[in-house]
Amino acid sequence: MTLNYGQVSNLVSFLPANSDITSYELTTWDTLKADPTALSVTLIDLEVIPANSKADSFLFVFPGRTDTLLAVGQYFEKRNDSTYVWWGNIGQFGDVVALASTPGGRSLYAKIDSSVYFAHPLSNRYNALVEHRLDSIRWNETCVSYMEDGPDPEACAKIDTCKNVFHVLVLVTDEALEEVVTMPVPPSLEVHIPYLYLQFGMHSLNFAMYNSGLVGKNFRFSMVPFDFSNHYSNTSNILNDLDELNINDDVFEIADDLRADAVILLTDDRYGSIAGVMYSLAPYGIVSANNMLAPRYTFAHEIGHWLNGRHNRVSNLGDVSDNSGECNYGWRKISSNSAPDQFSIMALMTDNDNFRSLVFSNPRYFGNGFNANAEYISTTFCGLADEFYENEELAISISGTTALCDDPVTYTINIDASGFNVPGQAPFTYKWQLGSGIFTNNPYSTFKSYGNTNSITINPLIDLPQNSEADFYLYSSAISSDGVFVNHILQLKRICLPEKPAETSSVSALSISKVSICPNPAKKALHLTSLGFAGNANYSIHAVDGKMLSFGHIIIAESQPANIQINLPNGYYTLQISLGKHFLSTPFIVEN
Amino acid sequence: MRYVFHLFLILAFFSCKKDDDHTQNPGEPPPPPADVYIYEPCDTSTGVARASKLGNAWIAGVVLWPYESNGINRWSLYLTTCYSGIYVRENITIGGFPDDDPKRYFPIIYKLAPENRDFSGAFYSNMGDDGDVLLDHYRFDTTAINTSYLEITRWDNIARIAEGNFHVAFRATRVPTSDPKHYEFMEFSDGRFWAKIPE
Repeated sequence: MTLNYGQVSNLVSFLPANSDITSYELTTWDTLKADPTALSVTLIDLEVIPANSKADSFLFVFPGRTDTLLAVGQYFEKRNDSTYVWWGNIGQFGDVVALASTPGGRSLYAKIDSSVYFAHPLSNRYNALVEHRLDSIRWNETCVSYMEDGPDPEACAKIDTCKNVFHVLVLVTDEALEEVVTMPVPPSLEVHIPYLYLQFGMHSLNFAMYNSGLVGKNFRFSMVPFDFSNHYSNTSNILNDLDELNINDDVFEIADDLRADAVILLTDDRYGSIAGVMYSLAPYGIVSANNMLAPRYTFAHEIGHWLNGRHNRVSNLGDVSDNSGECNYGWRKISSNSAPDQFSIMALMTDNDNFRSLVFSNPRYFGNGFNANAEYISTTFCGLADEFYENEELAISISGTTALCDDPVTYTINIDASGFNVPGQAPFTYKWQLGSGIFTNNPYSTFKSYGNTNSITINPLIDLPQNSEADFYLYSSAISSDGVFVNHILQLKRICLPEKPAETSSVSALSISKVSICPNPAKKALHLTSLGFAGNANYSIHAVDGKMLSFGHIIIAESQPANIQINLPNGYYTLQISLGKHFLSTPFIVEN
Repeated sequence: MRYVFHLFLILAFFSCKKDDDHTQNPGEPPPPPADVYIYEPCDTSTGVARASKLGNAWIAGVVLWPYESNGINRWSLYLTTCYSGIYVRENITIGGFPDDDPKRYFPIIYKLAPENRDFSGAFYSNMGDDGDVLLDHYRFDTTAINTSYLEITRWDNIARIAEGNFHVAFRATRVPTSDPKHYEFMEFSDGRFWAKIPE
């Protein structure tokens, strides 16, 4: 199967007259519109959908077809919380487009000609290995201070190497489907809407993780119809049913065949006030389909429990003061006199009028400019036993230095091809995008497409702003012929700004291929080997928070490695070398 | 009245004898440790249960819950303890007795067959967070099949009140459990309860 190419455009003239859309938001859509080679609607920011939109009609253009979407109404909106999902059908073919707008982000889902498009960087058909932002994670604090009731601190050491894709088997019962078809819908949508609704519920998990700054922790899902009634107790007791699910041979076989990491049974509201439950000792849970989206996002909540997410830090109750020095857990209620209460995905729902925002972490707390709760969750997630099958799951990596100065740098996507008869078959199509931000809450994020080859060259003097030392994120995507979507994100450090006109000297980046360090991880010394560069160099070693720990001079010669003695505790560091007009910054690890 | 009193004594004697037999059976598990979590009962407006949880006084809220299985209308007893009044920490479900003949003695068995009318099933769970995390799950301990029972001593459809006794032992389905105090073997003995019969 080959993905049909989808493109969304012409929204401007169909936006509601009273919307508060800004020019920036329109630009976002124009970017998408101007990309005629888009393979799917992905890696876009759907800020154009106003949170309180009451639009009756949007127009979406897909290749070969132009149909006006006929609104079937805003539904699934449980509360007046600016959270909604808007559904439309396209013509008479039963195809569907759904728009979701939540306080945590926007998304688009389209099912066109049997192909599914999901307007979110984390597609439901992908395996991803993405790199962590080594220089932004406060390793020591994360591992020591916040682990009191979390995983083993050894997990911290694995944070950059742990496998990051969790596969959730979702068992869909007839009751679940019936429960979410409670609104009048055109006959052509009766089949699609429940599944689309459930898809949104599942992907709300990825939304939350993405919105929380979780890099490298992603989910994919397999939906399998499942007969609930023949296997369970009929006592309407969710605990007993969960235990039955846990020992059910059929469930085990399905999960084993699909190599799922966790199993969620979707059912109806038969358990009364209990919308979901997760087993702490096994990756099994039950969720009421009716609560997959706002205001509770129970699916994401229960999965969060599987990820060792807690409602709050120590007690199981109440609020935790918004004191970043005391607690930087994200899954808690956040109160303020000047703003309404906010609840993260893992927060307790103590009032029916409350609703959860689609974030795992505390949206108001940012440690060192980053969301520290995301760090905690990332570390916590590493303790999970996600099975990554080296020969059967598609993965990609990007080769190329992460340090950018003013020399052009070429990056190449390397594909670790999947095995025979496993989704993810060649030929592949590639897509690159460069962004100044990675999170949806970054209003200055701009994306630039670099075409569809598997190799690109970034020229900092052309492609990057000339007056900012901010880091950049290079997104790469590979789409296999059978529709597997693989993402990779690489953080690029701007280690120097371009030469100012009045200056006579210039600084260029030494690439790793010209100067290499070993061993890495290191113990007591680093050995530098150069290719084509020699001379007296200055070096400095920095902690992950940027603090300089040591510095000195070394002589770099082509024929002989230069040694730098180090006496550092285990951790992650950055070595910076300046040699004349050249500069190198490279991370290294100390493991004594 | 005197006859009724004597009958009560006889029943009490046999009831005590049953417990005596239980403690003297060499095949029984060793004496349980006493260090367990004791929570407060959840909502007691619909019923209260009292028992000895491995030697500790234990009180739970009770709900009688009707359900239908295989054409038979049945009842289950939900015994729950809570943290801070609303967050469920323990749940004992003893259920399966038929609606049309509830007032009698039901031995507890491992799993209730759909057509069964003469036995009761039981399981026990420890919960975390706000009650939506199953920490440990226990099934009926099959080695205690001769001593575990539910006895409905009163089923008043006019006053809408039910009363009874119970004794049930459980064994964790997964070991090690999530908490050292969640022992592999748990027993609730000398149990008695009252509960409102829902309309």
